[in-house]
Amino acid sequence: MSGPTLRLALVAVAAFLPAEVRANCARPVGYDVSVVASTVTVQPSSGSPAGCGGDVAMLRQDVASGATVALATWCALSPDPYEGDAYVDECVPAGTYRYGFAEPFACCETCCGTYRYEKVTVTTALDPGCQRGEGNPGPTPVDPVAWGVPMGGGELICGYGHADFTNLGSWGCSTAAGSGAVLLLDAAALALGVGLLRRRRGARRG
Amino acid sequence: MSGVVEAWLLTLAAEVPLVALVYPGQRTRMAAACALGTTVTNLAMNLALPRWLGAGAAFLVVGEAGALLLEAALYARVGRPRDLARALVASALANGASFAAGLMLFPYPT
Repeated sequence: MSGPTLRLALVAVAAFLPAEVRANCARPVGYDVSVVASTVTVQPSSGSPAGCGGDVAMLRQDVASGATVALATWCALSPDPYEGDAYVDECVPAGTYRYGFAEPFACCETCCGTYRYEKVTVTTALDPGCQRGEGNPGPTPVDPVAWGVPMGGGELICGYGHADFTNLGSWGCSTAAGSGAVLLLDAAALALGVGLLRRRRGARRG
Repeated sequence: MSGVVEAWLLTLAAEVPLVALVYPGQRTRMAAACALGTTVTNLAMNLALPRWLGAGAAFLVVGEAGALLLEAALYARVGRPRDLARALVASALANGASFAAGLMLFPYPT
């Protein structure tokens, strides 16, 4: 590539860069989920006391069917004093699930993303004789939540910076304008390239 | 497989054949250049850029525009003879196709 072309490319890229380039972001806000056999432990990770035993229900949604349940208040102490307690979901059948609060976290603009739910797969077949801990009433069915569907609420609530998708899927309508701009840009570049090639061929014939 | 790896493989699958098609007589050379350039721009976009721009429209437009221009610059540099117009056509075709494929295959997170 020639020097002028390189400069042109760099100037074009620089023109799109934000005026304020940010430093590294903080720990994401979301959930740490672990699976042992048929028991799933969901540790909210938000740097706040929000957790098991609080006012907001923790939901589990079956990815395949969309069926949603509210977990019982069956808790494990958080090892981190700055976090709320973890939910312990016992006797979970094999399958893939989304876990998240019924009310999503508020967007943390300085974090490396704020997440609506965490997806996890339970691979162990449920033992028909599986017994929950004494006093654990088990989950309660609730109306299905619109997680993971277009316009309903993607996994990412907001990214680092100001991209807030609280009410939209991260690849739903919120990025429609961006997608259109990208396709338009590609089409414009293609038209420019084809135009230059044609003009050159025309000049050769002339 | 993580989403980043899937996106990278899909991008390679879409872009490498198209770039090779635009450069008859030097398909292997340009396919290799495309594989290398696309790997760098795709991974930079999906792993580094979100840290600065989040995951919204700005990230998308800046990342795709940067990939389009940098890959065009690479093809113009590596192609024989050096031809910016052909490089622009190759990069626009390849990036447009891979972006459209991504929209169709990964419309939203599940």
